[in-house]
Amino acid sequence: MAEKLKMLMDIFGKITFGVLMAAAVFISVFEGFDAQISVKILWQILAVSAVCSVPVLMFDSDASKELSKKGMFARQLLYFIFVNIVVLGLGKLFEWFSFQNFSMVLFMEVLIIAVYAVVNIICYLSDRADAQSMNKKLLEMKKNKKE
Amino acid sequence: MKITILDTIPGEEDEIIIKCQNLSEDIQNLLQKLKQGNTKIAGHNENGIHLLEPDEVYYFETVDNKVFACCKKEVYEVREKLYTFEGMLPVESFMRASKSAILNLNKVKSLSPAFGGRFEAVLDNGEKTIISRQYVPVLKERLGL
Repeated sequence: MAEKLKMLMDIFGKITFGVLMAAAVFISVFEGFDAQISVKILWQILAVSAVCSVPVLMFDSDASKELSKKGMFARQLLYFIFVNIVVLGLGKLFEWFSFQNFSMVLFMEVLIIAVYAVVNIICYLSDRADAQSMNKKLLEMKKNKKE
Repeated sequence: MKITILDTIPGEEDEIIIKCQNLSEDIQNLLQKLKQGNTKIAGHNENGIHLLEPDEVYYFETVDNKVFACCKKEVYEVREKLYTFEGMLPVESFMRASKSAILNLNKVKSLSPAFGGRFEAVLDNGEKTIISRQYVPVLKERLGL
């Protein structure tokens, strides 16, 4: 349970960072640098990040059989669709944009893809660094066994 | 290292005493072997029963409630439950990789990220197996990270 909570907080932090960056870009582009914004936007950002974070727990599967890389990729794709629905749905609810304004929707979609990519790249780079240190230790371990 | 073997008096239980400054890895391995005895695993396949040395096994895996010992090329069904192997196998070589697998670390060629905090282990025979997120900290600890 504690492990899952730690994982949730970790991903929540990364998503919040991404959503905050996206919101800053979006507001700057459509409202300008001097735009006056309500405090509500902060709570809305936290709400969107929280809703997008929860399904990440499904990656920590309780199933007896581990998903293959392909299976996990398919799950990631489903998650991406979920994120799109949440951000566009909540964005409409919070009146961040109007579906009548196609350029706003298109820009929002670009930002969703960018945030999704950045969060995944950060996670991947962190895992790759871990894999490199583990591979180094594995080699050392095998070398020591041979000696 | 000095080895001393003493006779016991009739009725006295056999005993091994180890005198050392500290428990080195060699002594710990020796102790492990003494505790385990000569562990062999009975593997079944269409040709009959084979007695497997633990180090021959690349990984143990549960599929449809059956446990299999996967060696370099051959796969044997074993009668024991997966969790029973955790106490039987040399702790310095084997570790839980997921709910359904126990992995022989000596047979891992390399590790790579596999989405969602998991890692994929490529084994010396080219096979791949997933190390689930919850066992990654155990793996890191085993490797001294």
